[in-house]
Amino acid sequence: MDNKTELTLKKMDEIKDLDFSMDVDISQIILKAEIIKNKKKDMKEFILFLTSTSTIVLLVYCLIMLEGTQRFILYFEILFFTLAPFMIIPAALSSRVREE
Amino acid sequence: MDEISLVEEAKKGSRNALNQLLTENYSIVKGYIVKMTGDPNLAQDIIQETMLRACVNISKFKPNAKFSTWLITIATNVYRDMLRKKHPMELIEETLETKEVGPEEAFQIKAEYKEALDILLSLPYKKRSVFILKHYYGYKYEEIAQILSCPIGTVRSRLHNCIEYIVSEMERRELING
Repeated sequence: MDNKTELTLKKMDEIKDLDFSMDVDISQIILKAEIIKNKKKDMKEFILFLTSTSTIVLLVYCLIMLEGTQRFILYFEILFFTLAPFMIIPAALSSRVREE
Repeated sequence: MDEISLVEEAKKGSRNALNQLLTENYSIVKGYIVKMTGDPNLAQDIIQETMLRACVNISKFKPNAKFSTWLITIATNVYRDMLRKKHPMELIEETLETKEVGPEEAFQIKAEYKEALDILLSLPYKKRSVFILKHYYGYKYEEIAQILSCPIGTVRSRLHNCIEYIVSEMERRELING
């Protein structure tokens, strides 16, 4: 490095410790971030709920439209709504435990 | 607790670990952004936004780089976004504090401070970033390349151009003898 460059860099070092007080509260930022994360999560769950329910409704409607499937739909619905709580409740519980 | 353990704890949702990580790296991000912007108000906004983005996206952080490198990457992106929005800038000049010296010396120090900052701020932000990270914080070329998402060769050439420009500006302003 030549003398000129060395002198220049030395001059530039004068702003090395450039500082002033700032009002940044890290704890508040963390809390704000948690609110944003929860909002994002809620939105994701809402979209998932909407997509899955509309798919199921559409599927059931299509099956009803097909001739000869009414009896099958009836049996399927009875079986599904009887068994669904036994699958959904343990799944929800285990996911909550995992989150905690 | 070391940085990797703190990151792991923060990813699991520990507020204390996240707080410690951000507090430990606060001064480096602050110093970098203050030099990048030269504007106290804009610097504060960028730091807050950087910390917020880091908290929200902590799960995406991969510990193959230092946490401070990741924070500086976010800060650079936030600064670039703010430049695009053409945030009005208020220079730091008024907030400079001089140490306990006589009025003449204080005036000279302030003038040199101002000139150095002025030269730094006249550089394009990508080159300024390279110079600050290399000269003031001693980052490696690889780390700077990672922060700015560019090849190492580009970092080297930007630094070279930067130093050439600063030397020529110092000469033009008669701050060093030609």
